[in-house]
Amino acid sequence: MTDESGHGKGALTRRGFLKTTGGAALAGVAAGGLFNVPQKAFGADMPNNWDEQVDVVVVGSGFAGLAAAIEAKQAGASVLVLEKMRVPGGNSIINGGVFAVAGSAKQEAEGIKDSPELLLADMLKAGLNLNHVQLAKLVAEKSREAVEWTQSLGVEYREKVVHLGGHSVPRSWSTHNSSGSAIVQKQIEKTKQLGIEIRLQSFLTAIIQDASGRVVGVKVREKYRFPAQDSGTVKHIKANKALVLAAGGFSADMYFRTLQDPTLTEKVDTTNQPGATAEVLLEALRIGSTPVQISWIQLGPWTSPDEKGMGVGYVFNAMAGFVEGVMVDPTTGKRFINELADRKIRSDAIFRTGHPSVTIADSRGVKGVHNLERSLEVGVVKKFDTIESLAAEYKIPPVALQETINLWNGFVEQRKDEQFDRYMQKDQQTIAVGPFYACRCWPKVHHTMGGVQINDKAQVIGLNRKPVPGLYAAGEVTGGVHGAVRLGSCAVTDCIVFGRIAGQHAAKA
Amino acid sequence: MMIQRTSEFFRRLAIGIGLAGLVSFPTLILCHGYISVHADTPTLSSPSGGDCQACHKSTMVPADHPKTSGMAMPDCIACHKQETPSLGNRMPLSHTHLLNGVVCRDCHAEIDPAGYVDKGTCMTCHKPQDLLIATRDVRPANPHDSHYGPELDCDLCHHVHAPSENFCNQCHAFGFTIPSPIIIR
Ligand SMILES: Cc1cc2nc3c(=O)[nH]c(=O)nc-3n(C[C@H](O)[C@H](O)[C@H](O)COP(=O)(O)OP(=O)(O)OC[C@H]3O[C@@H](n4cnc5c(N)ncnc54)[C@H](O)[C@@H]3O)c2cc1C
Repeated sequence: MTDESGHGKGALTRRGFLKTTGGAALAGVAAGGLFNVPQKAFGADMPNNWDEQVDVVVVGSGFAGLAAAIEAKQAGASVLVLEKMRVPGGNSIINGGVFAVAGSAKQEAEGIKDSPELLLADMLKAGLNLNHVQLAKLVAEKSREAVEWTQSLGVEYREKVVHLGGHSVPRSWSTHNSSGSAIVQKQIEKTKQLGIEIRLQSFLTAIIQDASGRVVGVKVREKYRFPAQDSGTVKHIKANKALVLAAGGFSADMYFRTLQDPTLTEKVDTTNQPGATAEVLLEALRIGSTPVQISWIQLGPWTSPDEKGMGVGYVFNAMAGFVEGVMVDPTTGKRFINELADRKIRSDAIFRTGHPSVTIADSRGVKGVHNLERSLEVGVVKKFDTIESLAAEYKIPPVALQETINLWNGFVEQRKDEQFDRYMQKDQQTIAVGPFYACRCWPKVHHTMGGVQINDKAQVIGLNRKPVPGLYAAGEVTGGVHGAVRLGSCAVTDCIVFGRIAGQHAAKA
Repeated sequence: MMIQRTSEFFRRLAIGIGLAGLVSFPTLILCHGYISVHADTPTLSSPSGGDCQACHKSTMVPADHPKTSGMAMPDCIACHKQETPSLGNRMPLSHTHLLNGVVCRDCHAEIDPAGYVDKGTCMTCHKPQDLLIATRDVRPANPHDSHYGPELDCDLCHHVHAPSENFCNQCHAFGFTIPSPIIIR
């Protein structure tokens, strides 16, 4: 972090302090003993005056931050939410609104058997067992409670659960508008009712610790205008009880993400909001938080190269192409991967072909695509009367494509995918009734699994293996829950579960 | 800091002098006068609001254009509404506001003119629910009814002293442009 005081050049931990100001500090030790070490050894950033104070400061206004704010306030603390952008909600408010819930009435109604243990097993499988099991288990166990909590805020969900890649059964709930905004807007409504301020354009630039190392407040720039680093005015806000970091992931941080994974250059687009950058994570590391699996960065396989960011076409791919239809390599006309494998397996497979793949579904397969009309209008999904015209558009060998579809239709009839063992939906139908729809796929940077280490109370763990006093974190800024690969729809669950836990404990810190 | 103090000095001085026109004298001093806060704002030579030629010379206003000094928006619209070249999307919002009698201090009353105006100020005239209806047919999405809700900061798209921009397009690629419509209030 750089800011005007220059401490960003590495001064704040005790060790850092001694390194940069070593001469003066050691002279102090030599002349008058330890007590002569300047008071600000730990709290080098400690202001002379605090501009403001509140019990709990929350950084970030996404699912996790708002859940923490609501819980902390309800537990009796005064709360302030800081958000650097000019809009609230971070990635949460642009999210696709799918929420992993293990063992719900919705599943029972459809005769789907599920349990938290099965969700946990799915998370660990996709996560290559790099998951911190205790944390992942909590997410799975509390998934139902988490969705019910959002329902208590007024969030409405569609009737049917959806099946996302890597999950062994359909279990994910969809918000009524297929957008995380349905949850965030209700969370914001609740914060208004509770009198919690969400202060936009407030950019955290430093975490302030006292001489004992306890986190006591933050330094921010208010009236900040992203991305102008020096905009706004500096203010110091005291956090009497705790600071909750809920600043999200860093998929849009070109410098830091290419540092972690040099293949993710600017040539690879991202689904994230532009403010999804790493400075809060780095600040947490600077004061001695433990990093966990920072270089596991996920690409979403369902995005299209024919539009910016997440766009609209992903709904067709995720809800129709991968579930009701097939994905083919346009040069061969053949399937090349289980369309419901986890995200990493699919993204890597698409990249290996060297060019965008094409997903195909028929008129019956697109029933669940709520934004089909808009996707056609934007032109990212295309509609064809025949498979031949579809093949011609994407330059797919037409005979090979028809063979692939015939093969798949045979699998559907025998209810077994003999090629890739893809899960057969209860009412799986063949690809046969026109019109036919198609979309191109090319992965984009979507989620950063790594972050700061937390425990089951959402306390941030320091390099000394102990909780950093006064510091909590939840959501995408943390690491461990998802291991190597996050399963689709598990981020919402993670953020709500740990956001609430962070708020509850922060209020009592 | 210097600029703030000086401009405040001139503001008071100007108010003290108490000159007012279609565009009030303090307005002119602050925005177009001796201590322009916007470096690239042309300096008005005479304190009359609709005096396009004073700044724009013949490059924008044809030589045979009727004299505009003293004109307000209804006068512009009287000719420009249907005829070409239309004024629609050509004038910055600062100008359309001025010509509608909304002067600098109507929005920048309490703060230095260089500061940003809160959306609450815009909403004293522009009601979110009206905007939502006004743009309901915009494709592919109604910008006033997005996942961010109906009450976003107006200045994310609509810049008054700079060309407007399509905020949606930081993630999307929507074809619509942000109009600077000629509206009579
Ligand atoms: C397009 C898209 C669709 C998705 N769809 C789904 C889905 O359907 N289901 C699912 O489970 N997951 C989905 N995800 C993932 C999920 O949405 C995110 O992991 C989740 O929203 C993260 O929430 P959060 O609260 O941790 O952070 P965010 O919601 O990103 O909020 C963090 C906030 O902190 C702010 N901030 C950052 N740094 C600072 C600072 N220095 N000072 C002040 N504020 C700061 C940011 O601006 C941001 O607003 C999707 C992600 C994207 C991008």
